Amino acid sequence: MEENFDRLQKLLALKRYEQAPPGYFTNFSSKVIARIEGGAAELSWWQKLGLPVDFKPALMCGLGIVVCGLLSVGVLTSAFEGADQPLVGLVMGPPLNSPGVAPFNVIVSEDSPASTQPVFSASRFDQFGMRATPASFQFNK
Amino acid sequence: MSQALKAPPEPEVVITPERAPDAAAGSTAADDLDLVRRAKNADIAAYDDLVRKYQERIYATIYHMTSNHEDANDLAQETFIKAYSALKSFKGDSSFYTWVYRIAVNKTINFLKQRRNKNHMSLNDLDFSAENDPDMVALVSDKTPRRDIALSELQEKLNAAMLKLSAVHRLVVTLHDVQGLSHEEIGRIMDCNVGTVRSRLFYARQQLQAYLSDYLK
Repeated sequence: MEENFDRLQKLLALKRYEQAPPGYFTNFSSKVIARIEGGAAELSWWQKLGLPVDFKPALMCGLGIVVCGLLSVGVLTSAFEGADQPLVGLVMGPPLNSPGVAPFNVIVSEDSPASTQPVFSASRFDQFGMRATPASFQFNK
Repeated sequence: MSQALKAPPEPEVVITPERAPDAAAGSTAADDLDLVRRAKNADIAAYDDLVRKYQERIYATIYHMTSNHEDANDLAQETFIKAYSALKSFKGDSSFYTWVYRIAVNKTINFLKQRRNKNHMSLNDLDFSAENDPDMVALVSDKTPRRDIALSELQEKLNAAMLKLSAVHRLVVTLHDVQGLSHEEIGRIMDCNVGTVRSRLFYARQQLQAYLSDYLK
């Protein structure tokens, strides 16, 4: 095995004879220095902020925009879907008989449309005593 | 899987002028630190000296990794530019030589990951002295009437086989078998221990041997 590796190493030594074009290194450092003086070595804004050098701001921004977009679509969709349904749940209002505010009564309706009734099993919520109750409001004049 | 393979004893390494022995690098470490200190103080001439000192080795490493002169040219320039921009973060814990090598290696591996399988070889010409090297002469068939053609064909096969290796395995072979760096130095550059370097080298050689079996009989 070693003898075979020895032959392989001799073959790999061939790569040492691969030379860059003549005169290539004569101007190499001057090209590097010219690029540095041209501003190529200036730190990017994320490097100035201390973020890693391989941080990709475009990728991160794109990802952020996609996430925000999906979030917005989700919020808007749920808002439109819920707009035509009666309000379900606990509603906070001003205290009754407060000055300047028309008093209203909260009337719990037992014959609300079936679509407002919770269809899921509330067993997990039951352990905390939480319930969703259909409600409607009637303002007193 | 490669970690489990037992590493062979270290082979004898023939020193050639292109090689970069550790001792030579070590003896100039103090000079490098002085140049780095001056370069940090905006002495661009000092940085020019550093570039001149390491340009060939950095270029060669990247070239042997990519098998493409144009890519090696771009990456080598970017390596030195990035090293300059990060010079303030260089604390001198390692030698400048190891530090800049690490930048070159990371840049090249990232480049190869992005390029994936789109390998396009753009090989440099072989030096004329290759034809007179007894080892090279022995590698090509004695019956070949035109030895230069056989050598260039061999060069192409060798580079194609190298490109089949993973970037990490190719790097170990390049640094050890082509550039002659020690296991310890490769470990420092790749930020891994010597055992890992040895096992990767063994696995890479096995792979290369399989790919080049026709030329190793």
